Amino acid sequence: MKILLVDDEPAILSIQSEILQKWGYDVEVAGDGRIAWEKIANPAINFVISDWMMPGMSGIELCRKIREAKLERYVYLLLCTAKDRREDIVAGLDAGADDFLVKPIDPDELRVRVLSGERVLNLERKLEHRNLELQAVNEQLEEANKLLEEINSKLEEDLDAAAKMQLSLLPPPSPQAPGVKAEWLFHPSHYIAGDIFDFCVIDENHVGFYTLDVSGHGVPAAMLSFTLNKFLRPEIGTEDLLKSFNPATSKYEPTSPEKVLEELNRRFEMKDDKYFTMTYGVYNNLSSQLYLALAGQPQPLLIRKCGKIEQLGEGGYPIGIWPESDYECFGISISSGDRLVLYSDGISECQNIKGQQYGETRIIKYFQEHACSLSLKELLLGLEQEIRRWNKRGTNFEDDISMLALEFKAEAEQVEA
Amino acid sequence: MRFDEKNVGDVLVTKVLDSRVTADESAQLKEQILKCASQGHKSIVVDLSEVTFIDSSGLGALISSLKMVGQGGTLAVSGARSSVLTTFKLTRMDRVFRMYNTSEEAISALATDS
Repeated sequence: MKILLVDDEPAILSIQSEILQKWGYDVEVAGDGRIAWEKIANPAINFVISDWMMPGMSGIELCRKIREAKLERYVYLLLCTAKDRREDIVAGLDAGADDFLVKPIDPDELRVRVLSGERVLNLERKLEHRNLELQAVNEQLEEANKLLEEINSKLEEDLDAAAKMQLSLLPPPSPQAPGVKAEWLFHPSHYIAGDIFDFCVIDENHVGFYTLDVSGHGVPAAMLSFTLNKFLRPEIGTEDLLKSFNPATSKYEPTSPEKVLEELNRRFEMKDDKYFTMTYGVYNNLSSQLYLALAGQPQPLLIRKCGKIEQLGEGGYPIGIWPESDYECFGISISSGDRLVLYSDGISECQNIKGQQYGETRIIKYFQEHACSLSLKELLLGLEQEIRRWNKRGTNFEDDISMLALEFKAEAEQVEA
Repeated sequence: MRFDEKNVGDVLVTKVLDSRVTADESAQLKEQILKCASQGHKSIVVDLSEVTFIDSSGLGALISSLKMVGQGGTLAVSGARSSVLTTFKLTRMDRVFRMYNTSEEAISALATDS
């Protein structure tokens, strides 16, 4: 701390200077306001004891000047005045003085007021220090934040790319085969889905199709769905999961649905609690027979042309839990105009604000009301609208949403697409 | 995830107090059941009467707990509400877990076993 003494009386300057120095303070002197103002330029000076009445620049003008300069450091201002009147004190405080000493100055009073000023300056220094520390921390936080944003951005890019890859595995829009056409909907809850499905031509008389749902969602579930999708594609001219060679007929024949599930179940054993539910079906357009095997997905809905709706099958073990689980196949006769809808549990389990599930009863009611008047595509889009309205407002779906629907037509009617 | 435990004879009933068992809670459910099993309990009843929704992760946790409790023990489920029961039936878990309407029924059934 460096004290600047300002007084036009050299004797007073000398006495005060001596006293203060004896007390251990560092002191400078100025004979008038103008010189004092020039000396204030030295940043070491942070304490001014000034006389009020001086020729040229008065003490109060010096105060005002110092305050208006808005210096980097705080300068403590002690005004010495012969005046003791309240209005003068108010004027002094108004001009920016911190405290007063009444002349003639009592050394004890001088000492305590200087100490008081010292306390204020120490506090100011502590605050300044703390401020600098906070600024440094702030800068570090901003750096860290920027880094996190970059990482996040990269992760989102990666997820976007994965989502595109997953979409490329799905069937083309409105795929068709002799005697049957399909429509589908696919909405992952978080970029990529644990749901996947396919519609594949096994041969000119057989179409295979499935929906599956890996437990959980997000990246781990999606990765298994990729693997399974690849595994379930029929290859031309060779045996695969969906068809096998019959030497008696020298032809490839589609594998019966329950055997497809059993084979998958033998090969995929639950790791880290991951399993998947599935429905696999084969349609034979010669016999107009549909064969289905279920592994824990919601029951498929058969919507007859006349409007009657049947829930098919009874359920089945999910795949990947017990290698010895057995699956059943059942057959259904199909008439032209019949439709089959497979939907994932993200739809039936979609919750509203009250926590109520949309449920299979509402799904069936929806199809009962609209199946006869809407095309297959419109029917699926309509149900999607319904559950969007049902869903807790403004939020994404909690679970993946997927639907695969088939419409069966006799060969002759296929011409009108 | 919160649980309420009570012992009735040799049977331990652990009641799930949360209403939803999803990916976030399933690991804790599994831990809780394994904890009970590792403490030597051979007959464990998981009371789901407060649970309104269980998703595939929750079911997965129950299934792997069942596998771990294994040959030496019994894991039963009581109080499954209709939506939970539907999930169990669709996946045939009602054939795999012993299911009871109330924890009392489960306790007497398991007690007579041992």
